[in-house]
Amino acid sequence: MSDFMPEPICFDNAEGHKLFGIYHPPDFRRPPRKTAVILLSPGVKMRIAPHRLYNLMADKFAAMGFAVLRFDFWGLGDSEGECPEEFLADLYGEIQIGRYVKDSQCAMDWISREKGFDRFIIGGLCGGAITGLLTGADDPRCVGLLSVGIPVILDSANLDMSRYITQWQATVIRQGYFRKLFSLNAWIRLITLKSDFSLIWRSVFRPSKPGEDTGGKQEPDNAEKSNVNPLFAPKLFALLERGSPALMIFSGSDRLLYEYEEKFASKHRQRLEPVQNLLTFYVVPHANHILSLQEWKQEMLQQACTWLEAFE
Amino acid sequence: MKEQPFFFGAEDNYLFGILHLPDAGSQKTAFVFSHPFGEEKLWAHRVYVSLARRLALLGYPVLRFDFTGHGDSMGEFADSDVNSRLADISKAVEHILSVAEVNSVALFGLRFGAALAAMAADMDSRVSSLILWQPIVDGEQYMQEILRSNLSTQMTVFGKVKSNRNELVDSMRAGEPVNVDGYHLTGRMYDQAAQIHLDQRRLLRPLPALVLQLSTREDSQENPKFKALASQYAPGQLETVKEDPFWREIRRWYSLAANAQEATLRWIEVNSV
Repeated sequence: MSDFMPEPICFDNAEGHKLFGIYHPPDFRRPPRKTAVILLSPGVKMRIAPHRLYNLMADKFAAMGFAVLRFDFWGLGDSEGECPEEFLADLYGEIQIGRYVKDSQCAMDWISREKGFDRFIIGGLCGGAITGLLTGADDPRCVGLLSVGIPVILDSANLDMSRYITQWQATVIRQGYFRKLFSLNAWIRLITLKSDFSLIWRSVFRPSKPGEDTGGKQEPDNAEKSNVNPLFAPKLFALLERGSPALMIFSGSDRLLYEYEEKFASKHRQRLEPVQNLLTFYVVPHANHILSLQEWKQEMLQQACTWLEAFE
Repeated sequence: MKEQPFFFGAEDNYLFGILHLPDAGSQKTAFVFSHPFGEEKLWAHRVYVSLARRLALLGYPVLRFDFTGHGDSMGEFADSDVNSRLADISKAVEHILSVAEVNSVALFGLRFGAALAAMAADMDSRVSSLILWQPIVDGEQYMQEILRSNLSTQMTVFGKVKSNRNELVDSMRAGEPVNVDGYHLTGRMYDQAAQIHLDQRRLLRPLPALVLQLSTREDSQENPKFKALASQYAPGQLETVKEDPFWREIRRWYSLAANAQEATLRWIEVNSV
């Protein structure tokens, strides 16, 4: 077996659950780096990520000389434990408020103990990105956040998501309804009361409503009418104001980009200014949330690798 | 119960597997799990884990593994095809027979993984029984379904379908893989999969098999293709259980297909697997 051979590993989390992962040793032909990269599971798609995105990222980063660990959180992938949620949205909501911060800390402990690294770039796609932020904000071992499609809002199966649509979503949905004016099936759905009337009302008849919520003014993140994750802004500022940089990559066709801009960036412009140099923001044009096309993946990877070059 | 992640097979084409070994009192049969295609594998993953753990608790050694180009196994998805997957199953069978004290192997699979399990069993006398959940009986129809995902992506990106299904197939056969949810589907894989018609083949040896039809409704009709497939086996049993289609994104979080699992365990007990 070659020196580049990934290594299947297991370690215990704080509750004693055995977590499964894959450790990618750095390419020994490259100058050794002092920083390791930890890729955190996106939602329920375990350490692999959609269409093996994490395998690709790990191989690329290892070839740059980084040690990389990707692993499954408790209750997901191959790891022990059971997630009690009945609905995916509730599980995502738990992830977004930090269910897996402790597991991520245990992963750092494992690499420190077994491989001798004590500085980490942490993050990943979607749920992996928000877990990376929540972990990194309070842990000085995290010297950077690598985020792809980070969610700013909280998911829940009990939420009426039509209440929280962004301007961009309202526009897209409205255009969709206008296209359906000549669709017989759409009219049948409407007449038989199968349509989402709440969504039609908010996108077609009250298109300015989402903007009215914020109006560019500071709105408390815990306001009843807000679905913004109240942890997002404080944790991101904690990370940046500590001097740790963050890479924020978004997909151009992903609602998460518009939620980030409308529900976070536009509301915190002033506070963002002094830390702007630590925040690298990049949009992969037209891409979908999971970056399924080859050119989207490559563009994201290129940005991530360029950003990572700065780390020892 | 012991769970051990490892690589097996040749150094230049290793496969990733997780071995579930019972603490004691091992049964005489081990299970090898054959996973579904593409993203269906990830959505169904936890259901596979739950079934493997339950079987191990009942004393059965279980090997779950990733096909070449899937999961943590080596290789690119585009380099894999039906034949490589069948060869991978054979390697997995060989491996579990070498590490577990058993004298036969049962294959389990869901969807395309079930089709592959059925095909592998045709060729391998070490396989003594089969459990097929919602098997893909008609490979050509399945490949057409898979291409639909590419058409949806085209609609999202370009606002229209620039290449229809036939053009996509022509393109694949001309050597240009088609992107399906981020996976590169080749003409070789497409053509091999399209040859699969499980209900129209003649089995060379008798084999007990459970065909489980997973349906969102309890009163759903038996799928005639599943019926034809089950009738090929000796004994072959078709049973319908209520389950949501957990192999794709649905509203519910599916870590356990309780009805399918219980029906499977009942069948295993009755047939003394």
